[in-house]
Amino acid sequence: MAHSSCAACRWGRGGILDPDGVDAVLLRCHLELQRLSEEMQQGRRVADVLAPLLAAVRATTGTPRPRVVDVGCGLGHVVRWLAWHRPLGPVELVGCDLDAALVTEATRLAALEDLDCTFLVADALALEEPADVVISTGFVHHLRGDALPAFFSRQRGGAALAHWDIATGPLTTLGARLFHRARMREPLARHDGVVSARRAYDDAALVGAVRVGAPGLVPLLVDAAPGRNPLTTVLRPVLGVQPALVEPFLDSAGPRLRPRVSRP
Amino acid sequence: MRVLVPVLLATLALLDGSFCGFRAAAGRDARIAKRGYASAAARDGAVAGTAVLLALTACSTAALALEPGRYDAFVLAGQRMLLVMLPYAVLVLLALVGYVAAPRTIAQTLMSTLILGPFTLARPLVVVAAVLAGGTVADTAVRAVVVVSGLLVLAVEPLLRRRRPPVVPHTAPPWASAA
Repeated sequence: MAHSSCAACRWGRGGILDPDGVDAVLLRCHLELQRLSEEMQQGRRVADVLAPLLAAVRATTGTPRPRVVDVGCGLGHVVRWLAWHRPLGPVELVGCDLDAALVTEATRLAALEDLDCTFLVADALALEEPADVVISTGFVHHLRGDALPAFFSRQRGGAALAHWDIATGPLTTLGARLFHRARMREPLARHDGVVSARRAYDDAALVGAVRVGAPGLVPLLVDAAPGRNPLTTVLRPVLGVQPALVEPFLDSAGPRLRPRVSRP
Repeated sequence: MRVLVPVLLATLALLDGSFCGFRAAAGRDARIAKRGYASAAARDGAVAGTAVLLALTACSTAALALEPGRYDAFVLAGQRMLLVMLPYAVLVLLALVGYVAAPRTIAQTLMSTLILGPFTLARPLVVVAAVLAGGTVADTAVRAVVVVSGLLVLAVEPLLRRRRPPVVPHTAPPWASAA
């Protein structure tokens, strides 16, 4: 990130960043990010895919209450949305992030609304009790080079993975610039949103990374290019699913979701 | 027209104030259920819009007291402003109705990406264009009121943002919460 664009630098002393100031900037950025996530209905989008996926996990593995872990959950908007609306049936919801300030705030918010979910400052892929399904939103574009297949490789033992990230297309950067300018106030949030859009992986790269990292999983895409509408698909997931789960998942997916799922 | 124009302008000012209130408060509270928070924010915005209306009414009344014959110039300026603002407002309202009425993720996202997001960015330009259009009348006092109206409308959202600072944990230093 360019130094001149780093809003946190305003809260440094003698060239050293003030940790409390940095935390406050990050929290404000994530508050604004959640606003965007709310407007784009990210909670509902995740639920639309996870509900049939978890139904397939329950039916196939016999796990009555599958464990869903959100990697890099930030303020835990998706996890808390799922805990509030309960569209998934019996499920254990866990959010993980390495930033303690974000996790503290996510925990406070969950307690405030009496939500049945947990937030941990932890490596989501190294928990004592591993996840049945690992999810993330706007996370995988941060992983560059070999780190992406390595990330998927660490999830190959689970039932499935589902990672939502910025859908690439001709309008991606323009849309990101426009919406981060219209909806966000923090310079860091505005800057990061556009950089993230530029770094987003296309479908082929994500599917390729799943194949390399987790060859035992079947990669699936929802709203794959080139058929997707850039005005309605801002984020789309890449899935990696145990072979035995593919058909039960597609069977559980309703008539609205099933046509949007493709096997690349 | 002598009644319709001021009524339409006042309605737009109140609606715009409400939306300013909502936008100023958005992205500042991370709870999942916050309908009450959003309603209160829109109400604050409507109050701010009412204050703008009162200020403009006072300005207009003073100008009319000096020269009662300039009411027609006010109406003409208002008509020209509405020519710019009304199509914008109608599209935004239709998009909002679509967003609320269509409980489909895709339809709501379309309303946001196609209209609500871009039109938020365009709002200051629309206000400036409306002021330029309204400012083409010959009467200087009317032109002055038109300019003041634009400035006040543009000032509402930044002022409301100060009223609702982002929620940050108590561990953060006080100076870090300044937007």
